[in-house]
Amino acid sequence: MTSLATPPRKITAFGLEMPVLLPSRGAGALAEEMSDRLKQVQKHMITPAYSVTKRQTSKSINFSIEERLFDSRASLKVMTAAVAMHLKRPWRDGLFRQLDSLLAPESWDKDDKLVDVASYYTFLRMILYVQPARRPGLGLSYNGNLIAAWTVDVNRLTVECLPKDQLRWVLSRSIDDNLERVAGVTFIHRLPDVLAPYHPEIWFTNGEV
Amino acid sequence: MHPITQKFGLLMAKYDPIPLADHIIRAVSWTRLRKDENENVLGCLWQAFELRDGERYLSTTWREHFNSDLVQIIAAMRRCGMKLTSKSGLAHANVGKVVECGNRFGAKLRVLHQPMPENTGYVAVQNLPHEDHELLEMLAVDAVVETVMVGTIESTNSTSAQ
Repeated sequence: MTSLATPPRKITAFGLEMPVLLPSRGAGALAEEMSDRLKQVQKHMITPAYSVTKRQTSKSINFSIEERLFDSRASLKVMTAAVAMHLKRPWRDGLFRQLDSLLAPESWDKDDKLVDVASYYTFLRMILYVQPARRPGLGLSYNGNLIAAWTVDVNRLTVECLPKDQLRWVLSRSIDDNLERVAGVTFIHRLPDVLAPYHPEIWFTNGEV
Repeated sequence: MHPITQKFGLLMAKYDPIPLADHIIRAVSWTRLRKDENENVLGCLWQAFELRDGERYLSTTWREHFNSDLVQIIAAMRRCGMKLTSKSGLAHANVGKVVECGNRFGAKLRVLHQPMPENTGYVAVQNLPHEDHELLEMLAVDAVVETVMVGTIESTNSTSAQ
């Protein structure tokens, strides 16, 4: 028997599972809007450019670390370019600078894994869905998952982008002079809801709030 | 030398706990430093305290063992095979706060001096849970008192040597 809570999975032209999990239907106009936005993201993410990038990455395993870092930076930028029309130019340029810095050979630790393509996929979809005016600081987990971190004074939001639209989030938020800490794992389309009690605009707006 | 005790048929080395007022230093790679959107370093991510797969304890170095001489500490870490670049960070954590953070999450963290030939100030933080991300966040925020860049230490040292 098929669970009602689990949407049916589809296979794309590139053999990947359908990259965007859609929210359940019938929850009103807001759900419709969210669904449409995710479909837009999905449409732009399935591009020939992505499939080419993936092949280059898998081939580069025997290359030097400098070459692999170069390939990784290029792959991530090509993936970003596929959705560039949804990012403001300064935002995208800033993101590229951050990727160059994150994947620079001179600061690379031999224990680090290159950015996992599926994780970066999730990162891009999260950015397009949440549309934060302020770029996050970037980091990398031991598993190669991209980390997006927003920090305003003691208020910290850290989101580790896992494959298949999953996000592992941890936050510290000062509310009424108490520092609350919460952690969880959710899907992209649920992120605004799970962060809502903590007024995430403090991280996502460009310093106005 | 550390006395060897026998427990359940195994020979176990007995290590000394680090005084709670002292500090341990964790080397943090550029990818696990907390930065803003303009690459300014703000501290470290909780992932800096995450154990890798197969790791049983967190590797750190006892600051006071080297009289807080960070140049010596960097040298000791490099002798252990760590790649410390100018963009690596050294997160200084207070031992008492590390233990307190563990207590608040029900983890009895033990901060033990486990000297080795390459790094006589080597310290292992034991009993750190693998999956408690709130505890790791608390360590990154509350236990870390400062994060200093290796590049800053080395440039200061080379300037003062001239």
